[in-house]
Amino acid sequence: MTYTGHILSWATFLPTAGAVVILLLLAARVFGISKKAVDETSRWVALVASAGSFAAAIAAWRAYEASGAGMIVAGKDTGVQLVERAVWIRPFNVDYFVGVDGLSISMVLLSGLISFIATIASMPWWADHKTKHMAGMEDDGHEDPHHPKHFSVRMVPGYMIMLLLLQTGMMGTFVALDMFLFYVFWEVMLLPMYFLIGIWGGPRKEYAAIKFFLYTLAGSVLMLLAIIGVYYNSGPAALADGTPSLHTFNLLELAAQGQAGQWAKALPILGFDFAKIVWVGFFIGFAIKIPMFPFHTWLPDAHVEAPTPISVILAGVLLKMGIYGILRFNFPIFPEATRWAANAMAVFGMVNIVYAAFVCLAQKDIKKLIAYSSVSHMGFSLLGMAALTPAGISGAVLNLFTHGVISPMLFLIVGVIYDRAHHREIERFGGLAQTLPEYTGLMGLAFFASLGLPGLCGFIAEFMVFSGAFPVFMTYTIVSATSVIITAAYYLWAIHRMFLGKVNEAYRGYPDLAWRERFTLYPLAAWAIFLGFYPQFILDSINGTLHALIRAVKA
Amino acid sequence: MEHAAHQAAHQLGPVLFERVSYLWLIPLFPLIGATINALFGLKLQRAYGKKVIHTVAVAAMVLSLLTALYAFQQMLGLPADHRFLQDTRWNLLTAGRVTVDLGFALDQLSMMMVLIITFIGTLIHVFSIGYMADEQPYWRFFAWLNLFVFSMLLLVMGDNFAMMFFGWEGVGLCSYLLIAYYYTDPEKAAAGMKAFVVNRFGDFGFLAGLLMLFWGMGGAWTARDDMRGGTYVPLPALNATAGATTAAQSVALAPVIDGVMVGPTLNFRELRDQIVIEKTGVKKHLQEQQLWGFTLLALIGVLLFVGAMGKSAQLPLYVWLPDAMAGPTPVSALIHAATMVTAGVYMVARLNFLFALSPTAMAWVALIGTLTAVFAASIGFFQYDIKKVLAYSTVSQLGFMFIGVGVGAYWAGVYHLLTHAFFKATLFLGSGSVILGCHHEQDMRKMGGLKKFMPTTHWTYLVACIAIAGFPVANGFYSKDEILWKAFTSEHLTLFGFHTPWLGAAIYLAGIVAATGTSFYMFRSYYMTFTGEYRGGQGHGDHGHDDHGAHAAPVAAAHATAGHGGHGHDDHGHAAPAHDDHGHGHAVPAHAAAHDDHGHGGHHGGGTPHESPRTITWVLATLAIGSVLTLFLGLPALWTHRPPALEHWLEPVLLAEVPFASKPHSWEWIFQGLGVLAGTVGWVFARWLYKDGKSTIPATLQKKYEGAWTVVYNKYYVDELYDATVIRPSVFLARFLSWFDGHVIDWLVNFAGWITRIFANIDGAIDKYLVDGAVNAVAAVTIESGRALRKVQTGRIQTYLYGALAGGLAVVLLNFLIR
Repeated sequence: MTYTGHILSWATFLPTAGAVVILLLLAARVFGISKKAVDETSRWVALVASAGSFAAAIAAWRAYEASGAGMIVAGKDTGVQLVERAVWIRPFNVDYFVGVDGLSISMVLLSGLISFIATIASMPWWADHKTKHMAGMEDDGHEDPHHPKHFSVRMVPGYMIMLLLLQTGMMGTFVALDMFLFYVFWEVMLLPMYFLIGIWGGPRKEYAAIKFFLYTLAGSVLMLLAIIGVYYNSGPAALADGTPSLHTFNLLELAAQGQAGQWAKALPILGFDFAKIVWVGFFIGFAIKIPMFPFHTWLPDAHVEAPTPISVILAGVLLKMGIYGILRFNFPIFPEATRWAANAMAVFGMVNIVYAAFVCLAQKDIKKLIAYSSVSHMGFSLLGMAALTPAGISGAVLNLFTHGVISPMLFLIVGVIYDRAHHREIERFGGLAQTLPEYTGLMGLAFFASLGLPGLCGFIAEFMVFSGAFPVFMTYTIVSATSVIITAAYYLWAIHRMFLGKVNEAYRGYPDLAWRERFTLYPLAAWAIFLGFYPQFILDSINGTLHALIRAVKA
Repeated sequence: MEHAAHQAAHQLGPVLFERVSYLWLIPLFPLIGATINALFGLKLQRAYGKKVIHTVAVAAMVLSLLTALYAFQQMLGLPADHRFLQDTRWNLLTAGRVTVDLGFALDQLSMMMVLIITFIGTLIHVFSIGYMADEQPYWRFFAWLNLFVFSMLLLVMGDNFAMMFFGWEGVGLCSYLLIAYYYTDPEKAAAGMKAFVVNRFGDFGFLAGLLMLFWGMGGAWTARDDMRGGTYVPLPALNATAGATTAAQSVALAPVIDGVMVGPTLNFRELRDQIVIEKTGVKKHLQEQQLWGFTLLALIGVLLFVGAMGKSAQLPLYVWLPDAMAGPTPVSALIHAATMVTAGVYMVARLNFLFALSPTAMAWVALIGTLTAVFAASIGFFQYDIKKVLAYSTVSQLGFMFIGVGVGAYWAGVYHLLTHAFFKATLFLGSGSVILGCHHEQDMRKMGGLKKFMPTTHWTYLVACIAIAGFPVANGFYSKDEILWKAFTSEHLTLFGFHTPWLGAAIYLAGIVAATGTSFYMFRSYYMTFTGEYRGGQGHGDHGHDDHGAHAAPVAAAHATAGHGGHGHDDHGHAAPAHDDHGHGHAVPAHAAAHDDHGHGGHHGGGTPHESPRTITWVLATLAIGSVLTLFLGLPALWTHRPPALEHWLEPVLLAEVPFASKPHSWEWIFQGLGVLAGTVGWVFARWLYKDGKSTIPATLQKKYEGAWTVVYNKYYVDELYDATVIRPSVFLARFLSWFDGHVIDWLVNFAGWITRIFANIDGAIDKYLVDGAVNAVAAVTIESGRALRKVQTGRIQTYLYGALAGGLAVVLLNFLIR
């Protein structure tokens, strides 16, 4: 290992540094700095910090070589690069251990991108007076209960601190290679999210925030139990400085041990095979995050109540952690149990896809519709990875990225209209295409990308998942493929009701996109088109690791 | 299989191809045009007027046409078996054996398609300059039209299934956008939505067929180990280990037999090589496979054809096409007649080597084509909207094409595609010219006598009618008769596993009936439109609706809402025929009301029809002449003693050998005569009933057979049937699942939360009353005893002394007693 840089740590902790600076700013108010100055400065700090984190993520993406040599564990090249490792908590054999392989590198890039976009979307800047007024973004200190203030001008420093901590948690989760460290980041993510929904959210924010928090926490508990179980049944390994340890939290080491049959030595739990029980524990913990039917109902509530940038992060990054976790924990550490459960995963994938698509068709709230469409689309990843074929698993991970580009766009689009009209009921709109042409164009692009139009990135992932899954799960794949019809139906119907037809007079004279919205939407639109015509950009980096992973699982 | 032996007779080698690097320019130009107009069109139009918009769009088309012609010229310079231009740009994606290149290929078939698309496309762009001149979102129209041409070119030029699918969906998108061009009218917008969603049913079939083909060729991931003694033995279960991560690795891992790369592929050329070259064993392997109790090849063929059913508007997925007439007329001509709807035919012809392997799949293609041809023709009989007549005619003609490619007369099907592109484009554009001339009137009952007002439109329309009716002076005769003749002589078709030699003759009979009907309804439309007296512009009292004369925009707009308020989703006023009178006429004025500066105000005052501007008439003349001249591409071998020019040209591509029964030449002459007779019968009837609009027989007949007439007039209530069987159940299911999600799944979650809270409360109560109660009890006892004992503490020394004395006595006493 010759790599001595700290790219990943920079990417992870720059936002935290930003949060600390904002805290200091708050403290500085004692010295008479105005609230306005603190608000404005904390926005800048957040923007710079998340831009820095994004830059570091890009640097990591560029530094990662798909065909380059990775860290050697148990005599095998794991393909993990950009490793930083040091002993953290010696008594518990915990390392600070971060690194990326083909599975996580695309997620690091995505997390950096979406965090930055969400930070831009949290700014009340770059908008004309009318747009600002409609959204309630004028920071005049005047509270009107009938025209509540935009989240971007309420308790700004607190919001920015939470947003930055959330970014650290996300980035950390994707780069952590120590189980304990992973769990810490996983939980770090949770609390800011709770506050961001619960304080800056919509009318039912408390219910949604509590539901999100408790539901995810329930998953975390299962995960924690599984982590403890795995730890005490793991074999001896070494810490970062070479100190031998009896057990290990090192994920790469655990994968090597798991693939060598370590869990056969473990005692059964309540008469069930240890590996299977622990597999299920991890799986449910992650499935809640995906979210997988029937653990998905927290998502629509959380999305509907969350402010736009938080929905963006929730859909763009947080949902990916479920699939990521399964591929990071369940697949490499328990290959045998993964094969045992593959069929069930495919069934759940199919149910997710079709069930949620039908539920979308009946939605009256556009944000809820999009939330359910996320549930449907994450099913593709489940189906694809369950097939354990190259195209299937590459498609599953590519789907994480493409959905991570498209769904933030969709939520931003809902945000635009919500900021103007202050409601999201599909039926109450109509003829918006006349008043908001630019907005309609971008909406069309996002909707069609999401319904899998070739030339835009959603299609590629869908196509790969289908072609990878069909040889293994014929019936499930064919049933899942019916979603191409339902998806088209619900999106086009929504477009029909909201954008086409006669102009609803109530919405005449609405301002079209402001720059604050353009800054967020256009980059994502460019990504959607670019990946539609050159998905190999991502696949080049992820293929190697993923295909090695399925070889390990199937061996 | 007899024809398997037949094919082995002449050995086919791999396709020899020529690498070039300019093919991508052909679709690129329209894409650039579309991008410019889509992004900057509105500003350009405001700043420089409409001229700059159509200059960009037409220039893009002309450049594309010129590049295509250059490719054609290069292709002509190559030997016949070497006419394959390949241009691979970059690798889109690779994972395992799924590898897709952004590659373009031109062989004789796609060359023909590209020439049709760019040539007719350019003409229709020019036509649109005049036709769309009054439309405000002019830029949007040309942007989408260019985008359509781009997608269509991807569809025919893509060298693999994925690229074809790019185009396939791309044209669907453009179709959606252009049908819903007048999106302020909810009904027209709904037509666009219907087109896209119905097409998605087809796409689902296409995708499923593709997946099965891919699987059938050896699983998604074939490794080199699967070569067993040099023969191709696909072993799907083995192959997860072969993870190619780049295109180069994918090629390196592919097994090669006799220089042919075998294994799953999405590339048409590689697929063709594997199947056609028998030594690879792929063909045999495919033929032997079964899936869910069906022959795999039949399943693949039928499913791919389901895709074609959607795009090419065949039974039962044709329902979107008549509604698609809501789009501007040039769109109907380009997309819904000349190019996009023929994509399915093109796909079947492209995969002729695959379809030819399954007599069952072939029979289904031919059968569905036949049923569609007859069914749609019959609906065409009684429509009054000129565009609707043409729409059903298109559906019917597409049926003819599928008869051709279904029975194995691939070149004839493709030739009909070509001839149809010319005559149907002429008809649609002619109808467009008529609609423009009659001030946006589409009802043929309000036309009549246009011959003297619109001479060019009249003669071009007549030429196209002659072509479609099948008279030997124009191109339609040659393609249609070849198709029907080949259908009659095909005895190889199989249905449900039974060999059905009679099917060919049955198809022929139905086809000739449909051809008679075609001639009838086309000449009906001709006579109603062009002969007699002009019936528009005067009062419409006889029809019970008089708002057309004035076309007062607000009235019409109100009418639009009133007329359609009752129809939730669909459609054009079914139940009562009289209602349909205004079903289409009002849409345009309603639209005019939506656009303040629509500029039609002057026209709507009624008055006489007028001939269209020159951009329109010249295009019509060019296409009409083309409808005649293209007959020379298909002069029958019977007359010239050599294969028709187009058949000869396409021969290297359409290589599947289909065993047609050989019949004597005299039969062929008789069948050609029958074809002409069918056209004549239809024409005579139409002339008798509709010439000059004098005959009262149609009205009498309509009265007499009111019931049957209503059923046909309302398109056999197929839309209603779909509504009842597909849409309503889906929406019901969606509502139910949504309810289920909110009231069962989420209820469980909340219930879990509730239970937890109940437990917490019980727990709290226990804590409060039992645990804490015990603690408190201890405390209370302590406190109470303390309180009692406090009284003891009086502070007086005597009391303490008495106490001490009592204590001492007690101790002594106890000591005494216990001892």
